[in-house]
Amino acid sequence: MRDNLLGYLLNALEEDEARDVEVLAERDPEIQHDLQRLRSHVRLLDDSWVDVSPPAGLAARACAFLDAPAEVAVADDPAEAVVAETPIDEKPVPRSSRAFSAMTSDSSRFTMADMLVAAGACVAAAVIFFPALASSRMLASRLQCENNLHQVGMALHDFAYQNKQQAYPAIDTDGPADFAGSFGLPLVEQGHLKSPEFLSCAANRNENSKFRLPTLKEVAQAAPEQIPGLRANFNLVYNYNLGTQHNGRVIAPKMQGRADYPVVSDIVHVGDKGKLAPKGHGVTGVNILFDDGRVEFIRLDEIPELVRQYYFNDLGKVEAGVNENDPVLGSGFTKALSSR
Amino acid sequence: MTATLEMTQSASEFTYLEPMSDEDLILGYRETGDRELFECLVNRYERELFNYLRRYLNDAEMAEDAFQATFLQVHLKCESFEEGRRFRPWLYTIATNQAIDAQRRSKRHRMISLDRSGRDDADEIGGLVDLLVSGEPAPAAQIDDAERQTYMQEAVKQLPESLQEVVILVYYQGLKYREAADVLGIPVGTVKSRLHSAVVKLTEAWNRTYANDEKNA
Repeated sequence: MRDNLLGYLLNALEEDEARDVEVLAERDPEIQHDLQRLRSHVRLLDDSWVDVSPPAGLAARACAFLDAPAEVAVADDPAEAVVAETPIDEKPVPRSSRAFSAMTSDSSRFTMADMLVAAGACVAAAVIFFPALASSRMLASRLQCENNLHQVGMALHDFAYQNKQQAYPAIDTDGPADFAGSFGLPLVEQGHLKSPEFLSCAANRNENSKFRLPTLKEVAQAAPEQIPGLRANFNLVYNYNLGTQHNGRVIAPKMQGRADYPVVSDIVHVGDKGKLAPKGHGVTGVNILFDDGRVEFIRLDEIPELVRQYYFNDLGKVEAGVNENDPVLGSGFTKALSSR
Repeated sequence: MTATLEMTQSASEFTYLEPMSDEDLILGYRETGDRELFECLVNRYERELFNYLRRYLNDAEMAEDAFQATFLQVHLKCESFEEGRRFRPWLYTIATNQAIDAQRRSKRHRMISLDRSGRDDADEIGGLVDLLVSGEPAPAAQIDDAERQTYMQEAVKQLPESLQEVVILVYYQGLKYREAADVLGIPVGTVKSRLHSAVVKLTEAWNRTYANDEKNA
C-alpha cells in the first residue's frame, strides 16, 4: 500500500486504489504523516516545467502533412540516392599485398615457420576463448533461470488470482509439506505451471537428468525409508518466500505488485556461520523474482546487505518474516518456523 | 499559407464534435475517413502532445517535427487501433517512438546524469529506494519560487532517461501508472519504482545544492 502513496499524490492511481489510500490515511496517522512527508518532496516540482503554447498552426500543418508523406520520405534519404548512382566501375579496388598474393599463389609449401605461427595462433585462441566459453555457459544458465523464474512468477500470479486473499502458496508449519521447497506442489498439481522443470535450476542437476517433483500424496504416503529419496529433488527447487509470522501462525505472502518484495530466488543456502552460498551461477549473484513479476540478477558484491536481508528475517533468523515488510527466502527444507 | 489559414478557421468549427470521445473520433475516422474527425483529434492534443515532445526531446523544433510525424503515424496505423483500447496511451506510445527516432537521427543523446556512481540504468532501477525507507530528509531550504522552478527543470533534464520519461509521463503529462506502463511497455511496479527513484534523486540533488548553501551562509 505504501507503494501507492506517491501515486495518490500524483493522481496516478486508479479510482479504487486511490479510495483505498484515502480510507487507510483516515484510519492510520502514520500514513497521514508519510503522505505529508512525500508531499513536501513532490512540491519541489510544482510549476517547474510549465506548458508553453505550441507554434502557431502546428495542428494545421500536421493535418496538411498527411497529404504529402511520400515526398517527405523520398527527400529524407538523399545520401542513399547518391550511393545508388555511383557507377560500379568507379568503386575503389584494394591494392594487392604480400599476404594476399601468398594466399592466392600456387605454392603449397608449408614451412616450419608457418607451423610455429599456426601453433602460436591456436594457443592464443585457446587462452582467449576457453574462459569466454566458460563464462558464456554461466551466462546461459543464468538466463535459463531468469526465464524459469518468469514462468514461476506467472504461475504464482495465476494462483493468487484464484483465491480471495490474493495470496501466494502458504508453507505449512507442520505436516508432510512443512518446508519451503513444497511451494511448487500446488502450482504443478493445480495446473498453473506447465512443467515442474521450471522450479529448478538446470545448473545444479546432472547433465541431461530430468527434474522430477514428487506429488504431495507421494510424500505423505511414503514409507520412512523412502522419504529421503523422494525429498531429494526438493533440494533442487528455488528458494521461496516463507511468509509472515502472526500470533504463532504463518501467513502466506500476498500478491500486491510490490517492486521491492522478493518472492522466489535462485537457490541460496545459508551456511553454519550465516554465510550465503548461492548455487548454480557461481558466487557472483542471484536471480530474484519480485512481487511485481520482475526478475532481476543482483550481484552479491554490489549490495551484499540488501541481498542478506532477503535470506534472514529482522531478528536474524532463517524463518518467516516478523512483519509484512520482512521477506525471507528459504531454500529446500527450510521450515517457516524454525522452532517446530 | 492559404492552407494554414483554412485549417485554423475550420478548427473553430469542431464544436459539434467535442462531446465525442477520443476513441469515437479515431474509430469514426477509420470507418469513414472523415478528415474533420482527424483534425479534431489533432487539435485536441496539439498543446498537450507538443509539450510532451518538447520535454522529452528538450528541443522545440524537434518536438514540432515529431508531433507531425506522430499524427502521420496515427493516420497510417489507425487500422491497428483496437476497439476497447484507450486512445491516449496509444497516442503517447506512438509519440514516444517518434521522439526516440528523432533523438537517434539527431544523435543528441544526453550524457550527463545525476547519478554519479557510474552505474547503468538497470542497476539504478533494481535498487528500489523508497523515499520513506531511505529517510531522505524533506527539502531543506525555502528558496525563491522562480529559482526552484528553474533548478528543478534542469534537474529533471539531467535524470537518467529511464527515470526522466516516467517523471514526464506521470507528473507533467498526468498519465495514470497503468497508462504510463502501457506506453513504455514495462510493468506497473517498475513505473512506481522508477518514479520513487526519480523523486529521491531530485530531492538529493536539491538538498546537495541548497543544504550546503545554508551551511555556508
